Order: sequence, then structure tokens, then C-alpha cells
Amino acid sequence: MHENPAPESKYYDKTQDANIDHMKSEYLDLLDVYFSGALDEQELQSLENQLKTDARLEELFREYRDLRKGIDYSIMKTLKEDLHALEATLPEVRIKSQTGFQEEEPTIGRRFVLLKVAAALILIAVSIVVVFQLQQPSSPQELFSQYFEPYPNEFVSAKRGDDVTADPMVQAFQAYDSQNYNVAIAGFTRLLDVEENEMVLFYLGSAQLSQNQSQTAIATFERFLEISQDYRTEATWYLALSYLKENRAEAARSLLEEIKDDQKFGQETAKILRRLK
Amino acid sequence: MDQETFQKIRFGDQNALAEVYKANRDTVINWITHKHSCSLEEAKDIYQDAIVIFYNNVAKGKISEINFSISSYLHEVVRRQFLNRLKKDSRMSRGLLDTLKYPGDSDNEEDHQYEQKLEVVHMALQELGAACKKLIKLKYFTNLSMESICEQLGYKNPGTAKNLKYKCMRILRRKVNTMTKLRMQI
Repeated sequence: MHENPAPESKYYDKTQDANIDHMKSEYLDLLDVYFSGALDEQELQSLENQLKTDARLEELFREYRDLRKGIDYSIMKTLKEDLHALEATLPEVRIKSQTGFQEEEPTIGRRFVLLKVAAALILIAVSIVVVFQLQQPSSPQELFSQYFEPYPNEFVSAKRGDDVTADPMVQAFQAYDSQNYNVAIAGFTRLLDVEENEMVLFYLGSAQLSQNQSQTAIATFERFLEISQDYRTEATWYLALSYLKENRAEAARSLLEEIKDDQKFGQETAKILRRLK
Repeated sequence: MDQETFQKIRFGDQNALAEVYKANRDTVINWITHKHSCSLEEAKDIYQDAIVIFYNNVAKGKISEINFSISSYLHEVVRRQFLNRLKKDSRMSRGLLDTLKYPGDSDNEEDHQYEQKLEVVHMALQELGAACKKLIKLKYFTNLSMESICEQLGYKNPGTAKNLKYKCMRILRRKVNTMTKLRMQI
């Protein structure tokens, strides 16, 4: 089929091969604006129409897009390699204890030995009293009061010194860290209205339980267990505590049975099971 | 993080980024090993990906200093990385590749062959001169205006920088084409 001579294009030289060498600078500039997302609605429509009807222009568009994508790829890859090299020069990361992320105990000098012995003696005395008390059967609500503690924030580092005020997630976790649980609950709820987030859900439950909102906490932890693969033991523990608070001993017992062999909660679970009337 | 550090990172100051890397390293890597029960080496790799994504988003102006604390941001990036982390091998991880989304992308462009195409651009870019590399990075990765690029690189006027941009892109494109042809012949 005989082709008609191509009409003049303002974007490329039609007498040449389709490649960026013959792409007019106006088109290069236009594509730069396009990829920066700054084209207005009319310009965008116009470009898209031309891409649909002009195969060579579309080919140039694709080539240019791939080139830009390759540039992004290259810069990210180079940075990853640089970070790898930086890591090799740093002292090894200190892995902290898994329970509660406590810092390892610092080495204590000789002059503190006596202090340590005194502290140990007091601890033993207190422990004897506590153990004696803990052997007594208790009501579910008493057990809740003895064993409930809000879960430590391991998710968002929200120290007050940070230059952060605007991020709603950080704000909510700051409130949580400051034990301002009602503010935290409101913040977490707003976040969940926008997007379901497992960890926000988990901490919402913990905050609710801190405010004795055990019924809503039950719904929150149940939802969490429906959707999350992580923190399941923790959520089961808190769900069981929520049932204790609601005086629902049997529901709590069956959940505690599920986690009684767990390393983190097993001991406390066993104690509650023994003392549950 | 103060505005000055933020701007330094945006304009490609490697030292400022290295400081961020070091400052958050222990906390985030500990969190990763605890939360996801992975090895230390794997946790480091994931942390490095998170820093790359952080840099990508700062450089492209997707996030600004006032909107978050770095540590909380890195935690969230890692969490999402884990959801997307389908495979790990010597090539760039899926999570990083997923950040390379452009308008008009189709699913089949995420395959190995497409990654090879990106790899060719990477190699071609390594062969460019320092001036072209800097300009391309600021223009296409950081999305700076030609006026800002002029200021950063000390050119007399935006017209000079613009002409250099056309020239550099032509050279890059030619190198990519040559390398692609060579690869096809092998």
C-alpha cells in the first residue's frame, strides 16, 4: 500500500528514523512535564490523543519512558551498593533482647556490688509476698487488674524530641506513649477510617483496654486476629484479658489454653489458669 | 531531622544520607529481626532497601521534612516492603522495583526481560561523564527545575543547562542502543 507523505510533526523529524536523536526538544520538554505530573487536563488529553494516532510518537514516548525508568533504577541500584559498602565499615548491630526491646544490662563496677545485693534482698522479700498473694484464687476482674499492661510501642518511634507534629500516626503513638489513651484511641480510629492497618488496630485494642473499654477491645482484637499473621499470640493474650475484664472466665480460659506454651506469655498464662476461679 | 539535612539529602548529599542510615540502623534492624524473625543479614538488606526508598521519596519531593519522623517512616516502609517482598536474589529486590512505577506501565513489564532493559540503562549511565551524570540525576531523579539545577551546578543560565540536558540524553540514548544491540548479538 502506498503511504502518503507524513505531515510535518512539531515533535519529531519525520524524514528520519524514530529515535530520540530526532525528537524535537519541544517534545522532550513536554514529556518531562508529563512525567513530573504537571501537565494540565487539556495538555494531557491532547498528548494522549496524539499518542493514540501517531505510532512513531508513541514509540518515542515508550523509549523515553524506559530511559527515565532506567535512570531511576540506576540511581537506586548505585545507592543500594553504596549502603552495602557503608554497612561493611560499621560495627556489628547489637541485637537486643526480644522481650520488650530492653537494652542489654551495662557492666556494673565493683562499687555497685553491695547496692546490687541489697536490691536483690528487697526483691526476694517482695517476691515472697507477691508469690504468696498470687497463689490465691482470684476473680477474673482481679486477675485482669493484676496482669494487664498496655503493650509497649514497638511500632512507631515517637520520641518527643523529634521534629514531628503533622503525621497523624506519630501523633497517635505519641499520645499512646504518654499514656494519653483517649487521644490515642481517637487518633488510631481516624487512621483506621482511612486505611485498615494491622498494627494500628492492635494498639487501638491495647489503648481501649487501658481505658477499661473491654467490650470494644474484644471487637478490635477479634478483627485483628481475622486479618493479621503477626502478633497473634500477643493479640490472643489481650483478647483473653479483655474477657477477664468482662468477667467471662470460660472464654478467657479457652484462649489462654491456646497460648500457655508460648515462650513470652506461657508463664503468666499458666499462673492465671491456676488462679482462675 | 532539620530542614537543612533534608535539603542536603534531596540534592544528593551522600554524607547526610549516611548519617540517617547510621542513626536509625540499630533500632530498625532490631525491630525487623524481632518482628519478622529473619536473619541479621536479611534484616540489613531490608533496612537498606527502606533507606533507598526513603531517599527516592525525598529526592522526588514525595515527602517533606515536616510530615514525619524518619524512624516512623522507615518502620512503615519496612512493613510495606515485607508485604511486597516476594523474592530475594542478587538482583534488585521486588520491593525496590515496585517503586519504579511510571504512567502507562503494564504488568508484563515487571518481568526479568524488562529488568534487563533497565540494567542496560544503568550500565550506559555509568559511562557518561560526571557533568551529565549530575545533571541527569538532578533533572530526572530529583525532578528539579532547570533554574534550581543551574544554581546547584553553577551554570550561567538555564539555557546552558537545558542544552546540556538534550545533549546528555542523546548520548545516553545512543549508548543504550549500542549496548542493547551488542547484547542481542551475544
